[in-house]
Amino acid sequence: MSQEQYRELTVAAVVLGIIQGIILNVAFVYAALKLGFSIGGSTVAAIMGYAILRGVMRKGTMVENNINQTIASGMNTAGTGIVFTVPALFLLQASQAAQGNDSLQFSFLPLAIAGIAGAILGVVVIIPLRKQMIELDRLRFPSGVATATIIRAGSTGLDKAILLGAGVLISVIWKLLLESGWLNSPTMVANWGFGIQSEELHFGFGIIPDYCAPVVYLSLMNMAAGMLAGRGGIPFFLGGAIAWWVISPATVGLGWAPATEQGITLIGGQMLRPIGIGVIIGGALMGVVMSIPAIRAAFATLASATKTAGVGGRRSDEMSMWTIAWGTGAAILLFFLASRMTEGVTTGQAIISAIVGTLWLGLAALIVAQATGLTDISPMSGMALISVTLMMFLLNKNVAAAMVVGVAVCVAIGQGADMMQDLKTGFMIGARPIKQQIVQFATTWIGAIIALVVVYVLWAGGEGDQNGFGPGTALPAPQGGALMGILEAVSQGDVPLGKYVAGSAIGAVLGAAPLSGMGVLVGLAMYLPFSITLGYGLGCFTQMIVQRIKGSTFCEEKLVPLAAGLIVGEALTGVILTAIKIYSNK
Amino acid sequence: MLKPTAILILLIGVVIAATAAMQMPAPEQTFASSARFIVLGVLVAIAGVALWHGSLYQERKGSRKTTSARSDPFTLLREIKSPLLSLQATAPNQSTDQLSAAVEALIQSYVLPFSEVRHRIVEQLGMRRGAEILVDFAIVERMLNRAWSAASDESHSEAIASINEATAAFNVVSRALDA
Repeated sequence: MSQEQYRELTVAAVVLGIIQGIILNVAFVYAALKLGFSIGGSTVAAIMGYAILRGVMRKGTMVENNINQTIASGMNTAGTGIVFTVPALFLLQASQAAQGNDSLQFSFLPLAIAGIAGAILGVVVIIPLRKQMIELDRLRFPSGVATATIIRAGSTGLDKAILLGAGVLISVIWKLLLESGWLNSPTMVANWGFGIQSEELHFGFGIIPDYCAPVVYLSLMNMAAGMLAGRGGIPFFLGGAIAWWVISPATVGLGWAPATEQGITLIGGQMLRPIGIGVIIGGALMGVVMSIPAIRAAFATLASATKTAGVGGRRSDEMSMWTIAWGTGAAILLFFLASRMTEGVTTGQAIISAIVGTLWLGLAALIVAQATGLTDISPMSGMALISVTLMMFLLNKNVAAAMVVGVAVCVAIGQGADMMQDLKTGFMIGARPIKQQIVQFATTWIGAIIALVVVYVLWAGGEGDQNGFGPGTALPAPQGGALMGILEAVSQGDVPLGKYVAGSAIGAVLGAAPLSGMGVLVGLAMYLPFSITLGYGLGCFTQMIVQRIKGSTFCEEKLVPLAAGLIVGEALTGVILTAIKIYSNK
Repeated sequence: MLKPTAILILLIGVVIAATAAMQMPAPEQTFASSARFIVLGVLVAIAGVALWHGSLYQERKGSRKTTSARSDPFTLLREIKSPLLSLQATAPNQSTDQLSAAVEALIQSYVLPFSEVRHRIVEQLGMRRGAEILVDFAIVERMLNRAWSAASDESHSEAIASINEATAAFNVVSRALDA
């Protein structure tokens, strides 16, 4: 290798990055619809990058793998922006249609254009701040550091790939077993309070009352997500435990809900769920408020970045300002087109939408990049809520038009944070920033389109080619449901406002706690069925026990690739089974 | 002891507020009769959060007292020059394994200790000049990281080229320091 040019931006890295980006995007969009949160794909992409570039092709370098993970994580993150917003439109449309109201109309093209605009803008607005955030302020970007650690881990790529493959295989077999129904034992569940039914293990044994939800969801993907989070996921588990082991029994004890099946439905659906939505919103908004020091730093960054422009820029290591300017212009134009193409939006409103949306988007991307750099927690949901609410006021309560902006903002802020994480990784392994910027700029928009297609396909997987996700389905889409709650609240006012307000107050207090993201995590746990939260918590505890016994290096080298495989395996199986189901129905 | 107490108070407050919020309101009402307990729970939770922040402040204060005096960043910066030039001179004759070890040692012994106190450069020289030096020094650090990666990837020529780039960037830093 010593006589060859050092491999960095190669065709192999780009192709592998795009392929991985597509797979991760599909898998994690599905996972996000199921769990309510997504997972950054950088670590998985970096592990697979080593396995393929070095293990199989025998010529990969660290900086080449970095290009691969930059592309893959960028495309994956674009999907996160879509899956947190677009499902709300489907759910709201279905909800309105059920009430005989078909006024909400939206189509694929404006959403796709908004996604592309967001993907481009998210990258271009953040590039000028690399020097300030990474080289001057030295923000930590924990995930970026973790990815660099994996990349630097070196020549053990093939071992990790084997573990990843084993995880995929185990997960696929387990998912197929669950889907086949062979493990179901409804009679045992009815008679003994123990057994498997509908992919859930019941363990009440007739002793633990049903309102304590003695059920665990047997999804390996769910457990694996907990394994990756480890200690950081404990607030999520605690939120669920408090909801179903303390609050629910207290509610029954106080006589506010009967200890019957209807009572449990009331507790889950009409009590905990709206409170959980409120907690998510309060927690996310307080997350933004708590980021005010970071926001101020971001403004200082902008000012000093202007002052220090050109310093140290002797080498062609940064994308030129002209490219950034052209990219920004093109994205604003796309933003305008996306808004204008939405039903009920005038040219004037589309101009407002493009200008205000771009300004807000730039600020939001800056805030989220700062917050991610400082804490690794992204207040994306809070930003999406603010965006949609703001645009609903500006666009005369036009939900579809507001959501077009929401999609662009969500995709953009995800991209900004991801680009900065990737540049941090690049700094630590000595990559050329311009090469990372070029590939993310050129490929990230693909992720938005793919995620949108996946959301459309999964929605069409339900009865009558709709309702494929949402409450009561295998894909509850909690983030979409929460956003839909807000859309309803803003446009109609016919909502359990008292519970939203109470939940928001609780979420705001939790969001102010020194543990970042606590409000959102606890709110999600209250919103989701406890079987999911419990399975996730078991994954967290598994990771913590393994780490205590075997150490963090073992976790990084063995548990991370295995858990990643479990996630990818189940998610891909789920998507493929859904596609088969759709095909069979037709 | 303060931190666990604070977290416990927060949790108690959350449980009180959330439990009170569970009651369904009477028809045409927004809030149920238990609303005052929501307020009470939120207030208790706020007290818990305040105590939690207070406990962290105490922790930080304690750790500041036990921290030893930091080194001078300018001295640390100048100390890098000699081993860096030495590495540049000997690099062509070293194997890639030796190179990655040597670069790692340089980073650990000289670069990271400076990075720990780099903010003092801005404090002492001001934003404009301090930022110039730090941005140039970041190039030194990044190119040393690249040299380590290249050496670990057995790309000898790239490792040497990166060390040369790091040295060139360091010369810019030195000139700025002397100006």
